Amino acid sequence: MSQLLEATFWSATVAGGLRLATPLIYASIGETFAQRAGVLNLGLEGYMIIGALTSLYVADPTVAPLGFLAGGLAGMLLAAFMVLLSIRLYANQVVVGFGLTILGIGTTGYIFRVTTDVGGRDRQVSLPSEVDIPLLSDIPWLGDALFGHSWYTWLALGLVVVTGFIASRTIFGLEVKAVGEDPDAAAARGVDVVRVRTMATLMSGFLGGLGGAALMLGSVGRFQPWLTANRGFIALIVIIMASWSIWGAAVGAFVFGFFEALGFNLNNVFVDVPVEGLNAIPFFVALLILTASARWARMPRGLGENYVPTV
Amino acid sequence: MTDVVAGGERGEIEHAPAGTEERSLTTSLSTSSLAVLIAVVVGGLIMLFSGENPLTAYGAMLDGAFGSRFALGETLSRAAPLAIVGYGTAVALRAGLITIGAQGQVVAGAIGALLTAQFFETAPSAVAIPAAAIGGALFGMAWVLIPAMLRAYFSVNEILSTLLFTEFAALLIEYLLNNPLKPPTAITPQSDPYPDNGILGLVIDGTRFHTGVFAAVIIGLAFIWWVRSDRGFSYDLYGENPNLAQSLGISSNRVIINSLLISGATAGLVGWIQAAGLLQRVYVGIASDIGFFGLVVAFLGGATAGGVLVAALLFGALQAGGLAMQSSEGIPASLSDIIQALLLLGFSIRYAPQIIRLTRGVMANFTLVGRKRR
Amino acid sequence: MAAPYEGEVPVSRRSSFLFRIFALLMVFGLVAAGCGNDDDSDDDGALKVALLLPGVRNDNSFSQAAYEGLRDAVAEDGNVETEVLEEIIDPTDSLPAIRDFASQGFDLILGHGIEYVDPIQQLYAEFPDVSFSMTGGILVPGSVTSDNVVDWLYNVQDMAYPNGILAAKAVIGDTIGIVGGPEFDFVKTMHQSFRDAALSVNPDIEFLEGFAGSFVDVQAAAEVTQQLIDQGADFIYCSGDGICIGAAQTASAAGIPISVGFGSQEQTAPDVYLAATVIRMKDLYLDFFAQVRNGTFGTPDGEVHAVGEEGYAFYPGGIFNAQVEVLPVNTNATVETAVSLDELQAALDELVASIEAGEFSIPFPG
Repeated sequence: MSQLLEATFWSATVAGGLRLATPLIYASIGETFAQRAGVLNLGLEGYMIIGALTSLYVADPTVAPLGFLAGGLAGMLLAAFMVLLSIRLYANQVVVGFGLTILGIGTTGYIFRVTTDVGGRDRQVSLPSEVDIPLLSDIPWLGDALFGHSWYTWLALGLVVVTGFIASRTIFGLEVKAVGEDPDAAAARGVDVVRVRTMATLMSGFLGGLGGAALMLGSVGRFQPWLTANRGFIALIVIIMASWSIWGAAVGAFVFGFFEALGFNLNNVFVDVPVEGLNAIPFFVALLILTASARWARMPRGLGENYVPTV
Repeated sequence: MTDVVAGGERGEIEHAPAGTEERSLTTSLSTSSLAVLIAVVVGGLIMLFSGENPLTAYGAMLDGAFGSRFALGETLSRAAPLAIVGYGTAVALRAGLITIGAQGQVVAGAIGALLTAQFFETAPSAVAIPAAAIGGALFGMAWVLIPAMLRAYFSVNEILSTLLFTEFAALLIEYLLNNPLKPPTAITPQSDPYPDNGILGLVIDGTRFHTGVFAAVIIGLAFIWWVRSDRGFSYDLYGENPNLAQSLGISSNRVIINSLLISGATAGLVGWIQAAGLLQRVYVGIASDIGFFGLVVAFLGGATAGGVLVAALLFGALQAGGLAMQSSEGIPASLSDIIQALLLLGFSIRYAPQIIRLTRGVMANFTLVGRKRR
Repeated sequence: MAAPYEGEVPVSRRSSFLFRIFALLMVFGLVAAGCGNDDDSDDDGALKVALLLPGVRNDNSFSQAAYEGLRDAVAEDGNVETEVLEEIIDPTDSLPAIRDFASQGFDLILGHGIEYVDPIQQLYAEFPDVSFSMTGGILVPGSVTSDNVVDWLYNVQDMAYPNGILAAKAVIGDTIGIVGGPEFDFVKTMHQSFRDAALSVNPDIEFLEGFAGSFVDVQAAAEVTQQLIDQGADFIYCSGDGICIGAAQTASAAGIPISVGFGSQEQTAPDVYLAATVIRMKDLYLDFFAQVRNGTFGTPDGEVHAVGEEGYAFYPGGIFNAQVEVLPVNTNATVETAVSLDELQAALDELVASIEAGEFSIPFPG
């Protein structure tokens, strides 16, 4: 129990939470755009894992930033199926989303299998070093907790600012909101619903792919089948928990990551508590937050509903 | 936008926007068969490219789904749980609720069935079997009770709360099978064998076609009755237009809680069927992906009795055939997944128009919740 | 209000379209079944062997061990045809998969995982001409062996104990971090055996333990490892499977030595990885091939025997019969250790030699 009184215990947990949150931040801000535009994208897990594999396979012979970008593009490619099937051909979004998740896991597993000889060398990248920020990194407790991170984390936080601005201060952001609330009304006012939804979905694919790439290049470095281990679905949890707000998604991702890290850490504090109980902590916290925020949560009204032009 | 048509055919949800239906149907009918065909061809090309023979592979798939008595038994025993979950989910969908927690409720149902069966270990089968079925259904209901209450009284989004409860179920079963429910000698999580007096017997020897499969028929008939009953109609009405339903005196909370409890009970029943019929032991992976695919089946089937049945059979066949493709043709599991996913995406187009109408109903309900709160 | 049925296909027509697709598939299936069966009469004397794996063949762990064992055994034998089925972990899938192999006329089916015990128990009597090898049937009460079923299991403690000796000798400091996947019994047993070994070298050592919660969540394993290092771990032991990639990456970034159960992480972390234990199946598979050919496969008396009875056909694996191998210490490691790499190798050699000579057997913990 005495560990709980030590500052380092908490700085390590906060730092761990931010590391675990990094892929979730990318994935959830992208998906927030899609859902705000009315597209329920359950293929997020698929975008993430295909982004993870692609980033590794590109970064291994070249450099990490190139792999990172490629991961995003791969996610976007998979999201193009969502555009084609759901937005253009009106197939059910939930069904297509599940299909794309299976497709992503299957495709990456298959590519990994046929490109790796048993006992041969797997593709691998070394993990990035921490970005040392002068002065800030040297602050006693905060430096360890908040400033010892790789550029993937910093970029994620930067993207939150940028996308937050896009969502609330640009025409595109307003259009996204309009087509997600009432596509018919938006169309009546001259918004090209299909175009806006397409862009939001592709964005979600791109950012989901970046999330997978950040996971791969930032903290794993080598592929295993289905190594995203449901993180795409956790990103969905984060989005709903954050009531479809970009900033909220970033905070929610961190909260989730923090409690996941706390669960790992508490294993050596409460030795007798089963691991399964500790691993339930982040989900339990999510339920509490969800319940508390339900009062002012507002789901995009057109979410999950395909838009069929009435012309 | 969403016109409620009184006196429309009760088996269907009728509130399609005028004009769009015609257009989307003609596109759909021509694109649907084409989409499946494209999926088959693309899958074939991928196999060809990977050095497999697509013809023998698809042959093995069909063979593994329909080609023998055993294969048909596999298709049926995989389709039955999907259909049951599909029907339960459809009841919620028709009332405007998306529950994606069936996966966790199946797990809870399996635990409930096992515990009940162990309690009645010495009772005659005529007692033990129905008791375990009820136990499974009750555990399934218990697992959705909190999300249902939260949705009814605090407007908590049920997509997320049921997903969270699926996580809780996964962790709970892992804990139980690693600790209290584990035989002392076992070093991996699994239960003792399911008690003999509670086992659902085989219908055809040498297959896995067990009597639990018939539960799907019973649930299917119950679903048809439900859809045609007055109460079922009022729930449909709520799903289509909650405003109107409430003005007609239909209680919002009752619809939400009851329809979610029904979906929980059916999923719990599936946990019982898998534990007492198919596997005769409880494993961590007892639910396979039944809960998730049951949702897909409900959507693909347009939440109608016939549609869910066909979609479940299609999926049962796809899964049985996908496995046979691996064992007979040496196709890796990941490639088989790719083929199955492509076919799923192909089929998704066929059903597009029905589902558009369905989701419109679901989302209209959310709209109300949103409005009410502001 | 618009006319509701405008342009709508009546329900009956819509379903009949579906049923037609379905009926078509049925017909296809029956045709395929009719002409597809070429009744396995290709008797060229080659032994037909099927292997079922819970993971992928290149998982660098439990499944890869069996795959490599079979590959090497086949290369040595020369007259064996094989089929390998990967990623069969869903309990719903294992029975039909094994049944399919049995009815295809395979002579020997190797079920490399505890998930295949139940299906083999259900199927062996139906296919008396097929030989089955289970993994861990001895842990499932009521399982039986017969003239066509045998049982194999590795000593779980052998996968961990050598790592504990190595860790206690190599660690600079007195805290060792243990990383596992889910908190399964065999994982806990490995961790306990690891602790026993380390304490036998140095009773002052303290342990920290963390679980990633699954065998696939590499990022969680990396994070658990980082937390253990932050809490003061001076050495990391990872008990197995793909997640050890994450543990090795993190240990490498922190410059902390690591040892692994179930497969080398030399590629991941050449600088800090020291040693690992692996399973070697080749010799056992060669034995099985010979037994199937000369008819001695199964229980000694050919009768059915349940777990615990005399005559239960059980093949234990361990360091003593070289089915568990302690991989040589990584001589390229640059990480600082308390004693030299040569001394670490000598300590492991000594342990293995004493086991092989029958002077010592690793105790099952608890």
